[in-house]
Amino acid sequence: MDFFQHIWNFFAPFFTQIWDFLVYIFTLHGNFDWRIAGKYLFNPYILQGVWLTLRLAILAQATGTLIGLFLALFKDPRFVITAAPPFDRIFKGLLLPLRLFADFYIWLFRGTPLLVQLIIIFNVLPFFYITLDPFTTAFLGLSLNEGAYMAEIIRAGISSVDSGQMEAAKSLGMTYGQAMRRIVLPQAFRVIIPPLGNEFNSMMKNTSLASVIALLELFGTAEQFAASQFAELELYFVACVWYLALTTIWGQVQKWLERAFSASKQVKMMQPPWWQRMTGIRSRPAVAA
Amino acid sequence: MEDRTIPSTTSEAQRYASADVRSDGSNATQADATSQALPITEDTSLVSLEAISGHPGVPMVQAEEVHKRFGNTEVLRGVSMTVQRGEKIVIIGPSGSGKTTFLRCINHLEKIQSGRIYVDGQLVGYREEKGKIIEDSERNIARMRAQIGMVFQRFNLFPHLTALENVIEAPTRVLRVPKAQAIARARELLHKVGLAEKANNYPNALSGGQQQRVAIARALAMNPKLMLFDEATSALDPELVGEVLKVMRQLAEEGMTMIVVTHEMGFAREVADRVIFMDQGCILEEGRPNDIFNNPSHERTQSFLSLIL
Repeated sequence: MDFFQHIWNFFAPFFTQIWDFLVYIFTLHGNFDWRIAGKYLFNPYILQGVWLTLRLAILAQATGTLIGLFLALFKDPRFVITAAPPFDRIFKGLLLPLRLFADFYIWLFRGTPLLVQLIIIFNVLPFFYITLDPFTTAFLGLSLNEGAYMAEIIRAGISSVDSGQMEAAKSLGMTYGQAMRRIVLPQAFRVIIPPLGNEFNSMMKNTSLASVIALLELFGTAEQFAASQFAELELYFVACVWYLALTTIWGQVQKWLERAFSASKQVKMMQPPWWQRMTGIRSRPAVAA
Repeated sequence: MEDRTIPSTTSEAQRYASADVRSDGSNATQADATSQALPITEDTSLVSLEAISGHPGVPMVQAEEVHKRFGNTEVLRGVSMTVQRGEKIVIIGPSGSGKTTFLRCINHLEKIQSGRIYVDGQLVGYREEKGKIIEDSERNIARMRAQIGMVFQRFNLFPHLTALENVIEAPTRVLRVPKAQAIARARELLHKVGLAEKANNYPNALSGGQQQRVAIARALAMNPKLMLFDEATSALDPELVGEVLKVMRQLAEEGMTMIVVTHEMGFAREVADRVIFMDQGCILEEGRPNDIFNNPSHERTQSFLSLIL
C-alpha cells in the first residue's frame, strides 16, 4: 500500500467519527434546528438590528477618526494656531497642556476595556442628570474609545509623510494649517487607509457590546429571540452570518479603497478577469504542433 | 560684463552652457528648438519686475552676527553677510560648514539663537515689541516666506498633485489669485522652464531634472523678491544638471537676487557676482569668483578648492 493508503487507514476511524458528529449536529436529529435559523435569518427585527449596527459603526468610526485626528495634532509639537499678535502667544501657551491632555486621554481609553467604558457611561451619566438613549450612549462610548486608537494610527500616517513636504509648503508661504490640510494630510491618508479599514472591521463587531446597555442592535435582537425561543445556537448562528456578511463586504470595499488611493497614478493597468484573479488560473497558450 | 574664465573641466562647460541637452539626456536637434525655453522677450519672463524692485537702496538680505546651535553644537558662529538687490551670491564649502543651515535661517525654516537677519529691510522671524525681541506670529512669518522662494535639494514636489497643480497651489491658497489667472501664469512658467507638455503629469512620471524645474517654476509662481537654492542640482544625474543650471542662469540674467549653495564651481564662475566660502560656521573668505577660484588667500579655501577643482 502506498503512503496515502497508510494515512487513511490510520485516521479512518477518526474521520468517520467526525463525519457522524457533523451529520448529527447539522441535521434535525441534533441540537441545531435549521428551520429556526432559516426563519430568523431575514426576520424584520433582525434586519433592523443589522441596519442599526451598520449605522452605529459608521457614525462611531467617523467621529472616532475625527477625535483621533485632533489628538494626533495636539501631540504634534509643530501644532500652532495661526493668529495675529497678541493671540499667538496665548495659543502657544496651550501647546503643552494640549499635549498632556492628549496623552492622558489616550492612556485612559486604551487602558480600560470597551465593555467597562460603555457600562460606566450608561450608569454614571444619569447621576449628572444627563439621560441619553442607548444608541447615543453607545455612540459616545464607541467614539471616545475609537478616538484613542485612531490617534496613534493618524500620528503614524502623518509622520510617514516626508518632512520636506511641510518645509516646501511653508517656504511657499503656507501656514501650518494650510500645509496640513492641503499637503500633508492627503498624503498621510494613503498610509492610514489599511489600519483604518481594520479598525472599522473591529468597530462593526464591537457594536455587539452595546447589547449590555439595552441597545437592540444585531446581537441584542438575536439574544432577545434566543431567550424567547429557547434557541440560542440557532439565533447566534444567524447573528454570525450577518456579521460575516458585513465584514466580508467591508473587506472588499477596503481593497477597492486601497487601490483607488494607490501611490502610482499612472495609466490604469489592464487586469485579468475576476475569476482569473481569484483562482490564479491562467489560460495556457495552445501548444505548438 | 566681467571676463569669463575658461571653465576648468570640459564636462562642466558642456553641462551648463549647452542648450543641447534635452530633458531625457539625449542631444537636441533643430526640430526641438520650439520645445526649448524661448529666448527672453520683454513681455514674458520668469521674474516679475514689481516683485524685485521693493525698497531701493536697502540691501535685499542683511545678516548680522547670526549664531545658531543645534542642541550643544554651534553650527553658525557669527555669520554676517550683505546681499544687494539683483546680486547673485554663491556659497561654497565643505559639508557641515553651515551653509545650508544659514540659507534656511534666511526664511526662518530654522530659528536663530542670536543675531539678526533682514530681508528687504524687514526683520525675519522676530519682531520688536516694547524693546524686546520676541518670535513673530506664524501668520507674519508665512507672509514673509511668501516673498522668498526656495528650491530644495530633494525637489519636495507634492506627489498627489500634477505639475500644473503644484505650481498653482501656493498662489491660489496663499495669495488668493483667481484660479484661471494662476493657471495661465503657471502654464507660462512651465513653458519658460521647458515643461509645457508635462503640465498634467504627476511628479513620479517626471525625471529628476524635470521635477527640479517644476520646483523652480513653483517657487517663481509666488513672484518672490529673493530666490534661495539649497544644492539644487546635488541630487541629479550629471546629464540632468545642465537643464536645471540653464534655468538658474536665465533667472540670474533677468535680475533675480539669488543665494545659491552649490558644488557646481563652473556655475559659480559663470553666474556669481560674489562667492562666499564657509567652513565650520564661519565665513572664511568672500570675493569675486575670479579672485576666490584663482587666488584664494585662506589656506582652508585653497585645500577645499584643490579637492573640488
